[in-house]
Amino acid sequence: MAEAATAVALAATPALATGETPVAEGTVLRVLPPRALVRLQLPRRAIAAAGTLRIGDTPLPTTPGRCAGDDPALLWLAPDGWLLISDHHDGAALAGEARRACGERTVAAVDVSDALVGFELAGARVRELLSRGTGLELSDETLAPGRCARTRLAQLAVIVRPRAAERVELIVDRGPAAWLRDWFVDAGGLL
Amino acid sequence: MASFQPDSHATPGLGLGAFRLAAGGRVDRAKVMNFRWDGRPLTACAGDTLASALLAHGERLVGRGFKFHRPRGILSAGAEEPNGLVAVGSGDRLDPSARATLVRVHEGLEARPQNCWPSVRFDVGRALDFVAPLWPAGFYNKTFIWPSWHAYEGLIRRTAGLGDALHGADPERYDVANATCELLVVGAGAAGLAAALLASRAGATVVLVEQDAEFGGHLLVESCAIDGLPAAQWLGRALAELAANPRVSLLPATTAFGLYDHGHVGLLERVAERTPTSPVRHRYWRVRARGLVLASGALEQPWVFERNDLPGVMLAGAVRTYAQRYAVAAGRRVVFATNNDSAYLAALDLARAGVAVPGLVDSRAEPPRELADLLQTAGVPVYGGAVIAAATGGSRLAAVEIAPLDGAGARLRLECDAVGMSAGWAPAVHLWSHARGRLAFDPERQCFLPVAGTAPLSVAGALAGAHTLSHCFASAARAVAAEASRAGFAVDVGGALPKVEEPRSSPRVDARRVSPGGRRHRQWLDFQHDVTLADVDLALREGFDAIEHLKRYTTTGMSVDQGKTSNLNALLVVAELTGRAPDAVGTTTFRPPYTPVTLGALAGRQVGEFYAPRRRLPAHAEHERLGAVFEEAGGWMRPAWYPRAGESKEQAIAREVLAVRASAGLFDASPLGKFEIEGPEAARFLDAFYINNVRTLEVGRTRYGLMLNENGVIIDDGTIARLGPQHFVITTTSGGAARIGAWLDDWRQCEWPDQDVVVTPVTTQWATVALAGPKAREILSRLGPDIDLSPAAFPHLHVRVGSLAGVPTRLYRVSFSGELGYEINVPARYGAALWRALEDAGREFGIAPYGTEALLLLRLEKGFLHVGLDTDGTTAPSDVGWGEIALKKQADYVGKRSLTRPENVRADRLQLVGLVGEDELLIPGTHLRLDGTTEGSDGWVTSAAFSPTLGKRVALALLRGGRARTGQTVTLFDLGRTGRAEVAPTPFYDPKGERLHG
Repeated sequence: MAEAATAVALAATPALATGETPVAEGTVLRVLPPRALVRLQLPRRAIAAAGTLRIGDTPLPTTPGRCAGDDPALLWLAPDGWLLISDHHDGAALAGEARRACGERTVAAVDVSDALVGFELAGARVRELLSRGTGLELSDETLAPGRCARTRLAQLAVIVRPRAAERVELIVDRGPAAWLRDWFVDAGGLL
Repeated sequence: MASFQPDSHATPGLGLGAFRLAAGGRVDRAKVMNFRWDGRPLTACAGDTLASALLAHGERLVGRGFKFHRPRGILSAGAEEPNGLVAVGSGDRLDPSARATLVRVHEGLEARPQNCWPSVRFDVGRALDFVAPLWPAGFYNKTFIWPSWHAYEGLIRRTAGLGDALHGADPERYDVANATCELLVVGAGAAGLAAALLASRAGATVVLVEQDAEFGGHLLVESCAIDGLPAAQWLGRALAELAANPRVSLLPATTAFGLYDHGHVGLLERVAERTPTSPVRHRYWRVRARGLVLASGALEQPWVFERNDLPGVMLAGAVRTYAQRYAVAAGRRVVFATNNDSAYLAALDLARAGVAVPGLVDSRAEPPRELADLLQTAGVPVYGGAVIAAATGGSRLAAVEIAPLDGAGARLRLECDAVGMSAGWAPAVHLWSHARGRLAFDPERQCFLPVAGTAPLSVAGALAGAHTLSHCFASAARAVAAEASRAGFAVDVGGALPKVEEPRSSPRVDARRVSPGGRRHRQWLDFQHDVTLADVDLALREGFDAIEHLKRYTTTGMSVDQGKTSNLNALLVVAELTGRAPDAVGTTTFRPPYTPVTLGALAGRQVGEFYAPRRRLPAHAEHERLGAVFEEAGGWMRPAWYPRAGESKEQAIAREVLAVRASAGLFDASPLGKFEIEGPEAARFLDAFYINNVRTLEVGRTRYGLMLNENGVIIDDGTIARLGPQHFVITTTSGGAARIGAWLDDWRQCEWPDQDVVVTPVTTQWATVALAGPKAREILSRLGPDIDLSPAAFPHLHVRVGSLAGVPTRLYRVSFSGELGYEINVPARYGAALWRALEDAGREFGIAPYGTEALLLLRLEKGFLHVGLDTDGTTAPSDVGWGEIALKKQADYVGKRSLTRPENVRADRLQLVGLVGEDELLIPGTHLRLDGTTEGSDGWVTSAAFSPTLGKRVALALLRGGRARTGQTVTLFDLGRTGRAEVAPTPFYDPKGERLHG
């Protein structure tokens, strides 16, 4: 039996307050509002079937570095891993939907909404700023909407998701998120 | 006659220098800058290098030799400069051993000579030159051996240094940037520019790099016509075209210093040189190029004759460069010496500028007719079949003696104050060699050239053996065609190449580069490391005939210039003296960097707060509110202790420990590594990593687990919790989370890819707060859990999933303190609120937040293992008391096989034991000796502290055969001091473990 309890309410606190920080001339770093993020993984034996799976109406992308769908957006991270992003679901519901989509297969659909923080880097100097921290190819062809990449930026594992020519979404672990924001401010000061 | 006119814009009394030509040059005479050389005020024009400005003022003496402190002057006009190493700046902004040929003068620049005392004009170290026989090659191996090398080492190091190192932190800012491109072109001379133009016109992304502050290379000094335009005008047009192309990046003042695998090239951009207002001094570019054209040119080589190191003796190309680019005459009377055609053009330019050229000495019996005629028309006598036998003068050149090679006739003395010499050209093959490209000796050009097809890149220009601009352009077209194919872009190189009107010349270089006769110990091969012909002679006589051995014995080519003006001469001398072909002698190995790279540039912004990412806990703000002292641990900023007003660190830690023992404490354990393991084979998968049984673990229970590597060595520990038949959550040490995550993935993906299991890292998804102490249950119950907390329903080493204050919760009944304990996991967004709620709920019980210091002390009192602190790279389970369990487990697991190796079952292994005693040496790191042992070490203290609970000092130690020594005393020793301690059983506190089951 549960112990007698005093009513206590726990309020949610985001990793970083939503808002934008100027990081270079004409370029800002925005903290995106919290949203549902689910990490979907299949064991190797189920990878072959990934192309037949649909989350909502969207087929799971199987081409490396590609995104599919809008909400939820499905980001290819690895041959056996995807990140699902939704502004309209909560994490648990999105994970449940992903699990259902996979049927009886072994799958991990884990809510990581609290583990990751989203940034949006926008402005004329986006590519220059990114080049200070990652060796990822930043040409117009490879850094285009519809693509995504999991890479190392500023010594951190970061998911890069171009949204427009001068607008890139960055998804990073919540622990170093504040540090990364400071890192961009410092990098911008040296451009 | 030459016209040397002071400029009216210069500081009154100084002018622009007595050797500044009245016309010509690419410097801006209207922008005059003041700088200080060796404390004296001088002037320069915008665009001057320190070397050109010094030469303009007749400052020939710029430094002292490395070994003998002989006077030295500027030799070259580029990165190969061996003599003009100067100290630029002062204080923390001192840049030692900067090459005066690359330092751009700016207003207020301060520079001074180095390696001399009390001054460059009078250096007492010069006395060493008079006892030169004491300092032959390899002198440190044979001259200064009695009574000991070390008796002399200090003095030798002080006299033979190359500038002073900085002692303070470097105040400059550096940057690192990455770039990718379809074609990287290294070198922006004629060939490099042509390559960049061809590729850019084909639509490729191009990065063009030039180590000089100006693009153009030899085009900056050429007077010929290209496509009907003067070379300088053609250059300007080409650069304008490239600059207007958004797919082209131009990087002047940038050196490609190293070429690595997969088209990765390291560049050093001297940003402040281009943009003095930039906060960045240097930028390190990491370029990944699909195609690479090396057009790095060739380095002119000096003649070897007696006293060829006198200030005023320079390379012919440098003399030309100073005249054409900087409008500076290297001297008032300049003699040229050569074994090839290139020096003719230098002599011609100087004569046309009005400088007296008393003669050009060509070792070839038949000088090139067309060029010789041009010179003689300009009034310059050409001495064919002759060499400079010796230079004369005090601290600067006064004359040269010319000797005919056939021995007929007397020496001719020519008064002069400068020599422009050329003993051929050494292509800058360094980056080619970094790529493991092969080299072959070209007898016609008397140098080593890249062998096409032996490295995944192409060469062009002088590096490819081109000796005229026409040849440079043609080689560039071939290189671009090859690289376009490699990089995957289409290019048409069949179009018309630029047409050049230039004097006819031959690539042939005479094999002679050493003047016959003369004193060999006064004929310098390596100016920067003071190596003479006599040193090479000696090394060969002593058997160092392999070029790599000879290099190390004589130190030829080992200084900061890496032998750019000495390697080729040295190995050709070796070939001649040993009767071998140059190919058989071979070259030494060229390694990065091509020129010195500031360490700060390699570090970039990865210093100070950006040295490594700093991770914040979900409740970071709460810890700040409580006044926590943060320490970095495993990349996390963690509260180490929470001092109250007036408390010392020790007092705060003791208070926190006692609060946990008496009531309750609150610890932020969020960094604990957490992984979800799911799938039908999840239990089997985990069973393969732990010495503890996982398959037998029931749903709702947790178990402590030790993880080993293949050698049976402990690499991590944590808990395994079973949330469902196919669902586990494991925890790892905080610092080991990333490492163990990679370890699990490695095995899953590479060794057992067919297992039906998935692993998801969730470390930061959950905030984890450890609530420990006898009041923990009562406090936790106030947060309204829907989980029965009673001891019977929720005993030690169990896990429950439910909610707390309406928030999803994973609740563990575990303890690292030895007290009743819970680890409460909630989604990270609720971490701060959970912390505050527990603090509020526990206030009436005297709850205290505790930091990592108190945590480590609490577990020490319990004798709990801390992996990494109480273990090292050899510690096996049996060494820490887990041997029996490890061996008892039937199922196989990583490391099991190794546990029964003879080494792992020795009785005298280092084993974890408790120590007690009051000796002040009972601290971490103190070594231990068993009774009867007088030397060596029998172990060391791994953890130690004064226990506020027990009122005595307690410790853990790894001790040889330790577990059989309970009750014995051991000697503590540390830096000559000794003490005593007793081997004691653990746990020191609550040995029956009753409190954690409370």
